[in-house]
Amino acid sequence: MGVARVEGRPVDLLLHDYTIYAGTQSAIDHVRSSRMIELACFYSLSSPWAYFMGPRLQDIVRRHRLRLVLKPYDFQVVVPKTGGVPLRTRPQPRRTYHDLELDRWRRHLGMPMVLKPKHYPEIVTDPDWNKRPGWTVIAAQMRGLDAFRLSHALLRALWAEERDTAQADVRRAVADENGLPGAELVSAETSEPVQALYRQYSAEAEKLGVFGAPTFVLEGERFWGQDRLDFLDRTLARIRARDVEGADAQ
Amino acid sequence: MTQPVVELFFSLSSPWAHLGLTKFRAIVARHGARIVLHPIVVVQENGGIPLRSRPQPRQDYHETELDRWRHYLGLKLNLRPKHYPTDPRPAARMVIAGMRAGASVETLLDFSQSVLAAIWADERDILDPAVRIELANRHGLDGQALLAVADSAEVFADWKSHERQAIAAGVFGTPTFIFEGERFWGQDRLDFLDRAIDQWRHSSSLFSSAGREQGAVPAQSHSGFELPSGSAGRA
Repeated sequence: MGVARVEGRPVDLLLHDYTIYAGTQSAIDHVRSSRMIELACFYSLSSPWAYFMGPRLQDIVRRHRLRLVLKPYDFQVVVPKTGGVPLRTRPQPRRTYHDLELDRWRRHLGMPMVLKPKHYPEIVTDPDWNKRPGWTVIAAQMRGLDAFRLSHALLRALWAEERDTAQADVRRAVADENGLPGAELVSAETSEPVQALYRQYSAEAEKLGVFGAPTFVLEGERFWGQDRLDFLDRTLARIRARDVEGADAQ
Repeated sequence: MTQPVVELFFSLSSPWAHLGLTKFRAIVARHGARIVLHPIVVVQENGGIPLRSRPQPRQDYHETELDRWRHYLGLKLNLRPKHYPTDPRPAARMVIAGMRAGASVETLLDFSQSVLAAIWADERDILDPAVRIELANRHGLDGQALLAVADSAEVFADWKSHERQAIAAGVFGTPTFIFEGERFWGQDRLDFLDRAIDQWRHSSSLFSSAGREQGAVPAQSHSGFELPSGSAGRA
């Protein structure tokens, strides 16, 4: 039992005794095990909280054998409509609290982080600066490549390695370092299929009432923030228990 | 060892105070810490946004979160209580009146938790003075007397003072716990508060034992110190 990819699509692997290969056991196992639960993650490639989520989300995806769909979306356009308040527009006490929380969490998680990274602009001159790496991730995901690995590497580059992921050559290098075809992915960023998905994810985010990043959506339920991963984990355990009961009842 | 002091800024109608105060008090008790009470409401000057003025997706998510936490904590809470929204200030002024009358923090927290439970679990209207009196009397306070003092100029002055302290401390939401100048906003940060007090006590003990070796610290300053039970109890 396990998961694998066939032509880029995630599939389950099941092992059966050949004598019951065509029998009922196979059908029951199919219902019980092969339904991969889909988890959507709405975020932007500039969110420090998305960087923090990486290792624990990976653990959850593996343990619950999820189909993770990364959905970078247009944070600056969507959240003012859904009630989010972009960091730079918050009053000072909330901004200082945000800094305090970053420091608190980096120590708690033991993850390296620069609190004021060089390439997180205070004044935005390129409105697409944090969209471009999102497009790179979408391009990788469309090709069935390890988009999650690329996503975390891009977030780490910005928040821990002082690299400017708004620059195409940096994104290409980060992808290459992670065994992905950097040049191909970067050139696909502005392609219509990638842009169409980006617009689609942004529209979904607005419809679902996503107002922050990261926001996980599981069977329509929102979990906002990396500090809700434990709740997500417990909910997944309940869903799997429910699915097994459903299969056993058949 | 110096006794740790935790400041509690809270609203007498916050569902998060209702869900979090029991755990907060257990943490504080375990560390032998002292609580300083600051009844307040959401501090809009600092960017706090009252629930009912938030956009709908956030209000819906707030309800999702309440449901999530009430199940996780196993606490009774109605998602849409009959008598909410309400005005927490009359109850808050009774707490302040109690502080002026010399009631203990423990008793005033008992009263506060009863007020919160009245709103969030028991469908009672805390704007009814008879309800507030009954809740105060339940904990050995003189409800009638507190009610009488609650509208005095002195209590109003104290209320304003708590508000000013909240603004100065950068508090925007409730409950907010402050320990050694560090803000912990929300009952979901109580574990961080717990660890911070642990660390502080641990470094205090290192300091006082170093001082003892040098003979520089009077014996009484490190007497009675024990290893924090919390650090032993957590894996």
